[in-house]
Amino acid sequence: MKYEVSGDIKMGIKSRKFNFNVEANSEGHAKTKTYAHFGAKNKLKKGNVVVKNIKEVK
Amino acid sequence: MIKPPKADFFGNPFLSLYFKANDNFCLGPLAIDEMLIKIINERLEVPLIKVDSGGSDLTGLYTALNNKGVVFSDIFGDVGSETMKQVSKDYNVHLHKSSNVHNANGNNICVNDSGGIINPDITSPEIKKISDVLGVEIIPMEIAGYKTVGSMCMATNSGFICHNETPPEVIKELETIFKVKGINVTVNFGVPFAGTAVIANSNGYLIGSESTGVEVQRVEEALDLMR
Repeated sequence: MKYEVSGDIKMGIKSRKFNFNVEANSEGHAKTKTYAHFGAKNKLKKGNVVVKNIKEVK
Repeated sequence: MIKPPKADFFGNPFLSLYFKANDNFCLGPLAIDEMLIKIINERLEVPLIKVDSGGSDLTGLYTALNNKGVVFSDIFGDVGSETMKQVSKDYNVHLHKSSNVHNANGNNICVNDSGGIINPDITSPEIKKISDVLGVEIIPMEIAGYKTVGSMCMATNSGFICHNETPPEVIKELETIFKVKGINVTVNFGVPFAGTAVIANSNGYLIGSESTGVEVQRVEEALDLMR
């Protein structure tokens, strides 16, 4: 299933809205993949990624 | 007040590593700053299509395109390839999945609708395939001693920009290839690799957020987008 995850990430003093399309088995899995993505690519800790909305894309 | 066309990708001003645009669409990674989506839609006047480039964010680096075709890397997984097939259907462009060892197509190929240049290390059969897909003659050449011409140069149908140390005779040669005028520029506060920080099409452009006013003005002049 495809999910669209949106929320905020805190980069230093700046906060930015993000939009992430991810393939996952469930909403929880999509959320985990979002944390993993920003952890790997932007070196952000889980606390700096605020997931606000997850919706399934058909 | 009109804002300058500067942007970055989660703090990284080298936009062309992440995005590639033609006059009909813009390809980008799966995770994007929401503000950047709006800016791309407004400035380039094209929709943004998110492509999974094998788990990487570097969609622009692995893609070379003009209005006739798209060359993408074999690093794109099944999901990415499916998206590209859909793009091909929707926008009527030819596709080529490059499996060459030089698969960072964005770094190795610079093309517009009139002509193109390519890394001379790429084999002749591969150049022939790429040429057929993009529908233009592709010429192997070096710019300022670098073979990665895609990151040295960026061309649209209205102009091109190239590495700051490009000799005048090479700029003239590029003008005959791309059939548009262009100049040498720097981007992102003195970086000479012009192709890495600018995404542009005939409608507009975006430049890395570190670029100075003079750099923005020169890019605008080169791409014939002074309005």
